Amino acid sequence: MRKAVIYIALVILVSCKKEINVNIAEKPAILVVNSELFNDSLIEVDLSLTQGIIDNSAAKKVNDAVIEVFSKDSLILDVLTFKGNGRYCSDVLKPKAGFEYLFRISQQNKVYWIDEQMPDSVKANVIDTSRGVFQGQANFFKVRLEIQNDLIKSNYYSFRIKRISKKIQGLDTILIEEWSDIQSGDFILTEDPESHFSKKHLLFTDTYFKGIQQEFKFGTSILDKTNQKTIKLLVYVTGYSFSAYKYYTSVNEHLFYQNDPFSQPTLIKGNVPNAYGAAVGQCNKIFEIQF
Amino acid sequence: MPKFVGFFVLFLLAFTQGNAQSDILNTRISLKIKKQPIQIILEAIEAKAGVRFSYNAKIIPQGLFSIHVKDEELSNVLVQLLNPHRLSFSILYGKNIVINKQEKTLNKYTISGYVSDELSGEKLIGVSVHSRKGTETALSNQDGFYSLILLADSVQLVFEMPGYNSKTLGIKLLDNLSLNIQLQDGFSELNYTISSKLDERPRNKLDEFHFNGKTLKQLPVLFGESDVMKGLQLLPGVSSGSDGTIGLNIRGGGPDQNLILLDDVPIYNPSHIYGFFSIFNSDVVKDVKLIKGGMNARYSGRLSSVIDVRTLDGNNKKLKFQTSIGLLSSKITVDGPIFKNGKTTFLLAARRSYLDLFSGIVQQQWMPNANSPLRTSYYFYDANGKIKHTFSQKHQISFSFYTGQDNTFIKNSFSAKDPGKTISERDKQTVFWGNRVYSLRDHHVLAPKLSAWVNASYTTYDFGNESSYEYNELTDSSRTLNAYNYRFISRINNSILSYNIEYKPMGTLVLKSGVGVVYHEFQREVKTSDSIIQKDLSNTNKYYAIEYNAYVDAAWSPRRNFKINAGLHYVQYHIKQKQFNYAQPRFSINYKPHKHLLLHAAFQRTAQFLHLLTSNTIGIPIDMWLPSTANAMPETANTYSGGVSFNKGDFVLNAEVFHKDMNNIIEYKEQANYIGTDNNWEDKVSGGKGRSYGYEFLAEKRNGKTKGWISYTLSWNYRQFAQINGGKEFPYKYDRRNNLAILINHEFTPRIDAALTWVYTTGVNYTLPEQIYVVNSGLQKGNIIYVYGDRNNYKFPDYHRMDFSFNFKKFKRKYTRMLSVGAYNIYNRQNPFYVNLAYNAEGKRVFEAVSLFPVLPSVNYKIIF
Repeated sequence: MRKAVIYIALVILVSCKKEINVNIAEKPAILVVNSELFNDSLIEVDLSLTQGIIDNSAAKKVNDAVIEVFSKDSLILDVLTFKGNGRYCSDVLKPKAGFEYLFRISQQNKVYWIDEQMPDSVKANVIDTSRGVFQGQANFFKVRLEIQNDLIKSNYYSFRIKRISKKIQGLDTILIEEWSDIQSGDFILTEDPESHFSKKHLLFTDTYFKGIQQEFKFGTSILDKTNQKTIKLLVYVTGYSFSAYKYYTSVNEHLFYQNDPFSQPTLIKGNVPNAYGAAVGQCNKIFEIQF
Repeated sequence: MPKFVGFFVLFLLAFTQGNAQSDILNTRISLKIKKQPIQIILEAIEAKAGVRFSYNAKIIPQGLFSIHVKDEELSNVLVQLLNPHRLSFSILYGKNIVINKQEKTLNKYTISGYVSDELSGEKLIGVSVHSRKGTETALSNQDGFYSLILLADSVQLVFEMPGYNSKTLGIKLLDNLSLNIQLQDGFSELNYTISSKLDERPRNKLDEFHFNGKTLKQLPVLFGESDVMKGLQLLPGVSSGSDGTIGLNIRGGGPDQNLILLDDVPIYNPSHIYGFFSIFNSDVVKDVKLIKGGMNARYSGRLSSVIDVRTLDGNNKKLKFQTSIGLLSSKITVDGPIFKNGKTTFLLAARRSYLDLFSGIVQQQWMPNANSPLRTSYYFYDANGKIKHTFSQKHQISFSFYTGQDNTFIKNSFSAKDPGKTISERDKQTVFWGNRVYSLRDHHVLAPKLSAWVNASYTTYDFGNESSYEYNELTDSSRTLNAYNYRFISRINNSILSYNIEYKPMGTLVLKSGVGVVYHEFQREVKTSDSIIQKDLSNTNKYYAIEYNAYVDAAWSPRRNFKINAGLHYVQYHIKQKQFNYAQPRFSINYKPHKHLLLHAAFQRTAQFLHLLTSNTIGIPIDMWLPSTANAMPETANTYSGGVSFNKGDFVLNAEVFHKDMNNIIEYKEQANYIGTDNNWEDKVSGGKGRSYGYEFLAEKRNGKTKGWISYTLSWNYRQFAQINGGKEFPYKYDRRNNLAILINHEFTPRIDAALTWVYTTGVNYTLPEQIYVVNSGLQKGNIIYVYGDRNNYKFPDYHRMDFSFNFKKFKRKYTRMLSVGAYNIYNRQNPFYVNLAYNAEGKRVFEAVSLFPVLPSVNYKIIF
């Protein structure tokens, strides 16, 4: 509604744009950690630095750090190998669902600690799929899916749908992968205020279905064109750690409001004290639906 | 005459003697005599007025005296000459006047009555009534009623009002007197007369500013309006947000902290077109009072100020019609007596904008694609009405209403026809907001020293949003209809009942007191229906609160140059089984050590039981009015102010200093954003405190062909919340360090005048990101994240703007017409509405300022019958 009000105001009241100089105070660069920890995948961490708001150069990577991985009881498990351009990888270590890991990042006399608890693996099944009309959209793909939830602790989830389509361009056939907008009338998916900020990344908690099997209905519009046809959909059901849930919801909220000049700043909730970004755990279960 | 007033003798000789005798005392004479015995002066009067005096020479004081009168009535001349020496006069017979000594023991009597406009009969507010030599002064109240206690004596009673020719009456007071006075308009649109000395009334308070319908006309007429709110923005201590914003920021307070009253009823959103117009139709505004400090104990409910707007009652002499046609809107006003005796009057006024008509035409030209006609549009309308009945000189009753609405919408439609299939699709999004006010008022003069009034009123403000979508698919064999509707409304209702009395036990003391009850209802409602999932959902969230209040206020003038106001307002507020009690003392003192100099000091404690939750940047109509609760406590403030005023001839110089402390003000917590339809708003806000202080200056020329003022404010304004900005204090978004406003009004000829305003203020504060980083993982990979510094860490470029208008009038026997030509933002300053991070043509990240309102020409034609 707010965007509608602003949009109408701007159209009616004749707006005008002008580039202006703002004398932004120069602040020291801060470490940024980007890492997704998948169960049973090798650990990979990307390190970079923040840069000035109107510094239009490419992101500044950190190539002189040492990253050590410890178990919960402080046993060293691995030292990540520098692979170039700010990328550090383990050659052997794959995080396990339900385990806790500690990361120590040493860079230019500063030390940063990350404590991350991997989520449990996801127990989900697709019940059925169909195609029909939804809110005026013909050829709408619907999926009915159930999640078996663990009673012991709070769990965090997301749904994503990746559309793989085939596009014919002259004699060539191109495969296109893109994240689709998800729509749902499901109470659990629509009532969680954290899930409002991205249509492509529907985050939710088990607040309403702790310890029981819960069924969900959601879907996406199949936007086939004359020269482009969907060949399959990948439905991602992801279980997140608490820090991953907080991080992704805050990133989605930040991006949602980023170009809204009337919102207040939304801050990213990372899990790296004294630095930005996050190293967060997740377990994926992917369902492939062929068309 | 009413029985309870009692018998009185008015020695306005015109009324107590025969016609011939009254003619004698009405004889106008001019006289200039310096340092002569009174006998010589009396002889000169005998020669000029053709009268003859009889007196005992022993009672005539010795010494030399001066007198200078010009075209003055004989009764006034004699009062001026004889009264200081305790001498009185009366007509003996014919043209013989006898002069006697006044009685030594003098009783006190009350003169009371109504002051009204001579042409329209409209009751006048704020008329200064005082005796020329005495210490007592009274101001007519919101019903035009005044009451003054004087010694039994011959006095010269003066009635003064800005925009009106002052009136002086010579009176011999021997009993309580009911005296209704009509003042002549200094500038009348129908009966053209002009006086270069319209306004001689000294301003008696520094924290108050007073506009009446006449002084409002000094402002530029843009789009048919001399806008009240735009006029108030030119005063010291008052600033606006920026173009497109709502409300005023007064002495560091937020726009929600101003008690805006329309005929004693609170208004929640005073704006049309995103703040471009106010809801106050200048054709019906009678009087506007702004109180920034030391407010009367009668007022309560907001922290910072009172903006008290009174509307006209309606002409009681004849039917009056005026209409105005402009580029953006047109309006029509009709008022007059319902019956020939003029006891019942009415007023009706209506305005409507027609941007929606123009935008339809423009968009059809710009968007010729008939298959996908996207349309945006906007319109507002409002209407004022009042009916007033005067039962007697002591009893009046009136009913007034205001209703107004703003509507904006975007709509889109699509249709296609394939063989065997027809598809049509329609969607519409509407945003609307509006105020409605109804007020019943009964004013009763219970005794010459005692009057009372009862108010019963209802006010409501709502804003909402509606979305609808409809999809129709018709084939040879089937029909598919999908429809989705959404409606959100936030509404605040107040039902108000109050009883007030004003009592004047002695000439130097005025007591005001009252009790009242306010019933608040806050409602937020969401309704959705969806034909696909077969769902109809309705979610209504309501809060009820009740407020009991009582006040007492005393204004005491122990000496002519010394006045003290002291009062106490007490409120008991109940919400959700929680009770809050607030005693709000008020105090002000005015001292005139010299006839041109006024010293002033004031203190006020105020409490507010509502919060306006705004987004961090700029106020837009979807900002939420929310009740005070146990978690979001009532706001309180202490305001201290003091100043000095120098007033000589046409010039006034004011300097003031103020300091304000505010508590329990609310803001969104960090990370909490627009609450939309959420009902858990109390979890999303943080309570904190604020402080502001500053200096205000005003230099004004009040009369003559060129008049106007320069105001300047230097101020500081901060906020502090435990959960925002790491608990550190930060500058308020409208912390405008410098605020300068100039108003010049010049009358070239009686038929042509011009007005010009220029405003300059430091830019508003804004939170801008200082650094960025890139997300390099997950679905959000490649997106840029902003890193913010402290709250409100940057300022917009300074705001300045100049407006002007020329008015060309033509006075005909039966009507007056006026053409107003002007421009808003004459030099096309692009004042930022907001600042955004964007990419320029070279793909570089830059800051971009988006501004509204370029130079906007205005033409308006007005005709008054």
